Amino acid sequence: MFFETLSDLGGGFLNALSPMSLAFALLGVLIGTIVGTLPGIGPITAIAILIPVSFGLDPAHGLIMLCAIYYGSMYGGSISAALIKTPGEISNAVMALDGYQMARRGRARTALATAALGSFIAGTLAVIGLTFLSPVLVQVSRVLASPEYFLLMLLALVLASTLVTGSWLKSGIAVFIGLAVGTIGLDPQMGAPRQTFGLDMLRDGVEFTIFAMALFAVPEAIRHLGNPRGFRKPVPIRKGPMLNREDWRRAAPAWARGSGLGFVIGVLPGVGPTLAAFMSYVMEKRLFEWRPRGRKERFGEGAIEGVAGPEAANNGGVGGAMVPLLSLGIPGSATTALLLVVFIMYGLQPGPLMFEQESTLVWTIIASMYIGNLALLVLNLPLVGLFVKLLTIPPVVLYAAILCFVLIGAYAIEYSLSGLLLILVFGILGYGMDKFGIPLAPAILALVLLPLIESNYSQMMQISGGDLSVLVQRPVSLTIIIFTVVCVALPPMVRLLRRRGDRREEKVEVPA
Amino acid sequence: MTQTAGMSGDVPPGGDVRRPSWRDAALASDTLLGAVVAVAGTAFFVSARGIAHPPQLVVGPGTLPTLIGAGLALLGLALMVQSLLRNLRGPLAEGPVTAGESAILDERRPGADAGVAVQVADASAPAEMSVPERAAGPTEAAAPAAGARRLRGGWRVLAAFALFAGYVLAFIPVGFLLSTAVFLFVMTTFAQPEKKVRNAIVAVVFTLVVYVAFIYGLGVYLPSGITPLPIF
Repeated sequence: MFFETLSDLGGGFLNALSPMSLAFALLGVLIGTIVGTLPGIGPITAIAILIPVSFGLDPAHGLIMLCAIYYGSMYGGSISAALIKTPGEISNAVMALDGYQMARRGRARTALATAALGSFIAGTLAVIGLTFLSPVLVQVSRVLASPEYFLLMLLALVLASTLVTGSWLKSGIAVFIGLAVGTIGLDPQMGAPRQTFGLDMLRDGVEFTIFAMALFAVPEAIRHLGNPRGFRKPVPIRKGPMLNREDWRRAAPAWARGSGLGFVIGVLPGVGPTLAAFMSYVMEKRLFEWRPRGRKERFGEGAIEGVAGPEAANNGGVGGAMVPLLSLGIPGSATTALLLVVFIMYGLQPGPLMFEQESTLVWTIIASMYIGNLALLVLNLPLVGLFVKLLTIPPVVLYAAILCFVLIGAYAIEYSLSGLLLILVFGILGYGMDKFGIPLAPAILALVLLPLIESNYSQMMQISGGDLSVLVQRPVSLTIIIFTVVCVALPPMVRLLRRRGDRREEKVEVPA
Repeated sequence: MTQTAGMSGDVPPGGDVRRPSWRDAALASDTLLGAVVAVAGTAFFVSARGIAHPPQLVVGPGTLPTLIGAGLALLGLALMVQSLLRNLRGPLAEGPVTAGESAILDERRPGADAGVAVQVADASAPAEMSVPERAAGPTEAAAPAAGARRLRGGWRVLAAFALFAGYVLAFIPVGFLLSTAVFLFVMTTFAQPEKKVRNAIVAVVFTLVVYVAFIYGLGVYLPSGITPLPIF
């Protein structure tokens, strides 16, 4: 299988290296970085707004470009996080801690280069992982049937609502809001409208991109326009060496740790780059404080490990999240959920079948990910000065323009008033959710998963005659259930144990 | 449970140690939120119960919506109870706006000043981290002036939403060019009245550039409405 994979990948590279594919990969990275650098815009908004741009392209080029946009916008988000402390999205938030502190201490160049190199290394390692893990998963998927798929999606939602920042009750509410919105519209079995509450604009259901744009772009823009406040002045980037020997020595292990951690977390359904970045930050902090080795600064005050680890984990998570998406058709995070929608838009259904039927296309896209990662590095190191200029756009103009783009995007999807009205309605909902601390990303993931959950659930129940015990009788599905329970039960138990341990430790360490 | 570990024991900087009352607890934002979610979930549940169930199907069109509505209602109820209990227990209970997501570097929101306490997964995930710098408690923002400012801020957000709603409704009947140019000018001027000239220039140039780019570059149609310019 190993050599088969290599030859498939080789074939993919032949296609991905064609001038047109190469051009779209480069263009995607460039556009993605530009849009991602704009403050307050992260990967989800960037992809959602740019989907109309790819309408006229054939599947291979469109998908290559949107994947490249994903990478680019991830990196762009770190630029705005490091220089004006305004991350595009939560997954870049960690960069605004030590990255911003490094920049303030005159090391902006080093911080951005550390992030770029980390993104490249982790991104490439993750694509290698994706290359060799996906065919294995495709093989494994032969033993999976509707009960397992149903449980895997449930697992994704459970992880998405428990392994997040903030209250799990609120992220649970976010998941159920997404599910509820997903059921609105024509039901898949009878084709009759349901849960429309008599409203015409709900008859055809809620288009996913509209929901994503309304939730992510509209509240952010309205909040700013209502209470405009200037951004910080970008921290100037001083000339000088990017990384000195000491930086390399400290960053390299952090990159390695971040890459591994990021990929593993990314592969888990339901959680993606965000959790990877946060966990990596925590891990680096612990390691740092455990063995400071005479370093000058404290963690949180511009430690290079706090940039290298999370930024690598972030991009490792992106690659990891692609694994379940491509091989099983299960998106691992809100952004990959958006990519799933893009695949479907092009008439493709990610999963084992796609590897058989659209083998060339799949491998072309995977090959283009290697290229995209390299392009990111090649473009970003020299062009960073140009991207920084974007940070000086007046925020009021930027956010008003975003609202226009959102409406154009919504109009281009359906050419109807109901799409526009939904933007308004869900924009208000998103504002309210954000105001009350309900996270938005789990709702988006849930909306995408709902049709898959429903079809697998009804298939399973139809076959078993309504008997749920089928879930525990099949070995694989039982394993998934046990895994889910462990994932949910472990963190609180660890915390409980640690709390006890802390008390004991405190007594010991008081003299120091 | 959501408190930053070090803070929960301390007296807040403001020194306000009044006893929590039922009224305060009932009006706490999470209690109200829970109630709203519970009501919405119930409405969804009731509506889903009304969906006809064809006898030949084990899972009908209404099965999942019913479960989801019930789940939403229960979660809302749970949030309500949790918030009530928490607010009755102590004065600090409202906590650093559990919006862990945005608490991070949020400078937009009053109270949640810049990376005060970054809590990774307060309820369930592995750890928490806090940025040592500027560890001022969110309670500081409770000065009376802040309240008034927040109220005015709320009205301005409402007004911004109203302007956007106008744009949404005008987009198709009025047409892209006119509605977008007017919206951009009005919205930017609402936000920054001192920069009318810049706003006007931006509104016109942006609208034309986007129009040309989408119609000719990308082949995406935009509504022409009553705008006299033809799509050529």
